[in-house]
Amino acid sequence: MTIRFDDAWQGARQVAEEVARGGRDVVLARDLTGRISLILDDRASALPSEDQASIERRLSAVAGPFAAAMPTLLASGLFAPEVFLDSSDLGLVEDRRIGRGRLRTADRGAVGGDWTTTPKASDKRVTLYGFKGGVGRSTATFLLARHLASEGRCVLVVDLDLESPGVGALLQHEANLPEFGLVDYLVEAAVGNEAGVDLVVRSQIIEPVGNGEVWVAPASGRPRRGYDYIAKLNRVYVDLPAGAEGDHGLRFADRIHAAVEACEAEVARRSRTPEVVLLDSRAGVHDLAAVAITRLSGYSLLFAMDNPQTWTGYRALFRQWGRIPELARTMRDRIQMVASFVPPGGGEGEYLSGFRDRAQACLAETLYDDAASDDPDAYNPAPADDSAPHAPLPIVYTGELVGLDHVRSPNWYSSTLVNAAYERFVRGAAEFVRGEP
Amino acid sequence: MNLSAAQYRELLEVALPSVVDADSLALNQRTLFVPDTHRLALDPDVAVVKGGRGVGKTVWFRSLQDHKLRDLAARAYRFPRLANAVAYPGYGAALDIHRYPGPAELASLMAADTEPDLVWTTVLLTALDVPELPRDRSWTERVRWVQAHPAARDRWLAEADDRAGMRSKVVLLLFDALDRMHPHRAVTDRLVTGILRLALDLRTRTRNIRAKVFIRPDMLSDSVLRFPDASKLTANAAELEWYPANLYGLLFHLLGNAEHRLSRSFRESTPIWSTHGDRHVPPNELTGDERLQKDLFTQLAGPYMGTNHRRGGTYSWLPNHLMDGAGQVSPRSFLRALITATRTTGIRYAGHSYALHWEGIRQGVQDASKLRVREIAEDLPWVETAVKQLDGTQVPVEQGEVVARWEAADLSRLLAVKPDVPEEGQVRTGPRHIDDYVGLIQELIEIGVMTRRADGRLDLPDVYRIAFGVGRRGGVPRVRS
Repeated sequence: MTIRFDDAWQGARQVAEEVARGGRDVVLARDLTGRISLILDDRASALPSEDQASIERRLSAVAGPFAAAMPTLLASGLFAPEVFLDSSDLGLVEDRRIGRGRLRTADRGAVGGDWTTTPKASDKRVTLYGFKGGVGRSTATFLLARHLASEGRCVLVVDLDLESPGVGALLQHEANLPEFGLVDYLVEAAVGNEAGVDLVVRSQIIEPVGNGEVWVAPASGRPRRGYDYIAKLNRVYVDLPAGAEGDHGLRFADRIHAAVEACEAEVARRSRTPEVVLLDSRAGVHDLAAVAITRLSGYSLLFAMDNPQTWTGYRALFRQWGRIPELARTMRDRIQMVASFVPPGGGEGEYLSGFRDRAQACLAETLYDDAASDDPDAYNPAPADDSAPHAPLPIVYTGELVGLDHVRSPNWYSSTLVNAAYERFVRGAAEFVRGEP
Repeated sequence: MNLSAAQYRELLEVALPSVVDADSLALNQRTLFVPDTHRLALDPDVAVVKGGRGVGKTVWFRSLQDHKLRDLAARAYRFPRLANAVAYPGYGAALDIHRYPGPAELASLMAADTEPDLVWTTVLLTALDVPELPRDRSWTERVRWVQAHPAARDRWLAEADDRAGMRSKVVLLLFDALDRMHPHRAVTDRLVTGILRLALDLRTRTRNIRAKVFIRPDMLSDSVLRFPDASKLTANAAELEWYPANLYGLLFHLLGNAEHRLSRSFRESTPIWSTHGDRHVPPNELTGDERLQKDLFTQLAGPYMGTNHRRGGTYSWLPNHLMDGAGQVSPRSFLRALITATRTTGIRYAGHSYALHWEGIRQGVQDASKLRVREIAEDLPWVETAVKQLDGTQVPVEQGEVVARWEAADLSRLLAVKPDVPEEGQVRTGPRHIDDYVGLIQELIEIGVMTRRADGRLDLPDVYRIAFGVGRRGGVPRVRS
């Protein structure tokens, strides 16, 4: 039978587990093309060459075309082995135990790499993300911004959904959008020409009383003759290569980071430093979402509908983090599930408890600690735990928003039904953002 | 002026009852708390009062028999009819052979195929003080005597009803501790059915004589309700519920009624209390307004279960982590958790800026969980026997694995080994399904010890999981140092 990509990894995992069980530390590595090699730590005790040859034979057999040119490597043969073997980027599968070695993985991929970079993020930034699109995320962003502003906060909303921008148009009439959008900033900054690109504007649709303000950084500038959005979009996702002396190049993640910081600085210059920055992220396992969730924001609101596709998607995403225990511990403290389109009326309680149950299963498998029976300190909250990330903030489905044209119904957000549907989400999310229980 | 952390801790130490078991707790007018959710349960016309373990069945069973406490409840709930009630025990945990037969006598009555209805009618007539009844005889003889005089029985009942009516009294016959009547579930079920039929009978045939049955919800199964018009009783049933606001209301009530000088300072630092004799009644805000309660509890415990909000807020965390599979929190668990939290903070975190440290609260919840498991082991020994077999596993667990473990341990045999003739006062009812493991799982779910996950697997709420030594499956390996 032909050995495919997933079979190769599964088989290699088994070989690696057997070696680890024999008492030796190992790291199973997979490169960009999917080729697999096993690094055997022989620093403490030497490995007879016939043993290495036997492991190599087994590995080559299970990995087939995905076996690397050198399927096994000895740590003692690596240049500076500690740099690699002590890296915190390695995923932990099994820790050392009496008589057993440690098994770790190093999985290098192109897309998705940003899902697992060690996060450094700002607590005032909050990402709103949905694994699948069309979950009412932009509407939720709008209403949350309005609520936070009504409490006197200065809120900046950044439309990071570059492929299908939306929240900008909700927050501002088209004619009043700024000259430039995020895509403009990104292409101008690539050639060092970003000075003077004004890309934020104060929302004229949300007009809070008191000291609150809502600012928006749209994806696109005001539509006009000669303004080519697609041409810019095509150029924003690349890593910029290193140039001449002193220019180290810029990774995509850093480019986005700089753009968001520029938006914040401009709001600060024109009014005051924003207290909350809402990032309306695009859907899917795209790097843009990865950057927003793991690199930029201190908190993420993850929108979901209770169906199998959604949980399969989130499971895949969380597993990326779960491979690195340190990252899993960080990320699970930063996320909060949102149940969008909760059926209204009598079925609500039942829907939410099913949602909560499946969300807990999804998070437990990927990001919660494996709690042994004698380990009460492990973090693995039960389904009923209200303070856990899997306990959803509900948004009730409301027919009023289906096919809504917010230009022709400018007061859509004043509707009692809409506000009732989003009330618990808005209150809960605001507490989450403010750091209140 | 608000109390300091040390003062709050001092007050908590005195105010929280060191014994939280209703059978031995000294009930008094100062500390009896009347949660607003229990009003219906005290209505003389409500015959069935459902409540899980430690929610106050025995507290009300005992309080209703004490005229001062009954008056107090009548006042608090604005229930003048209750003030005019006289209550007698029809069955209870205490041995009171003048009022009702004990487990041994019940066992011999049932072994002789006595109709349960007849037993309870005899208990009722004894309570009504019918002079013709031979009272210095055994229950077996009394029952036989009642059986031999059917016409007189009806006449006495009517006369007692009229007498009560003339004096504007309601006579209440109270039943509690129904799981301590007989070790065999099938017999217990028949006895319970007898009590319920009597309750229904009194409602239809008398105006001033009522039964009130305090019962665990799982004992009120379809099999005990298989008699005509049973739905009339269940439709009208009340439940002893405790919402977080009630639990905190209880805490604040105890803090304001402690025998300690700081109790007064506490009352003066909170909205206006009213005083009746030596009983201080907290204002509605303290017993019903969650926002205000949260602010006040934050003064005692700080806002978060950690250094920031990521682990949740203290006010909601505490009851949330004491919930059983049916979503119920018993005040007994709640108080136990607070007692341990106070003690732990005093010993390990005395310098903390709040009276209760989050680690203390966490410890308190674990302790309450152990207490809960001990209680279950006492009350429903079969639950312990069954769940103990899961020691060392992790939840969620496949039903097949649970059944396999039970089969390997031969659980049916373990459950069947029970003395047929109980030692006096030691009776505990067994499960309905000794040989049917799937049925046994269903029973565990009904009493809130197990839950079923959406994918069909079985889970344990943390309040049982930790003390039973069961882990929880997760994807992130724990690093062992």
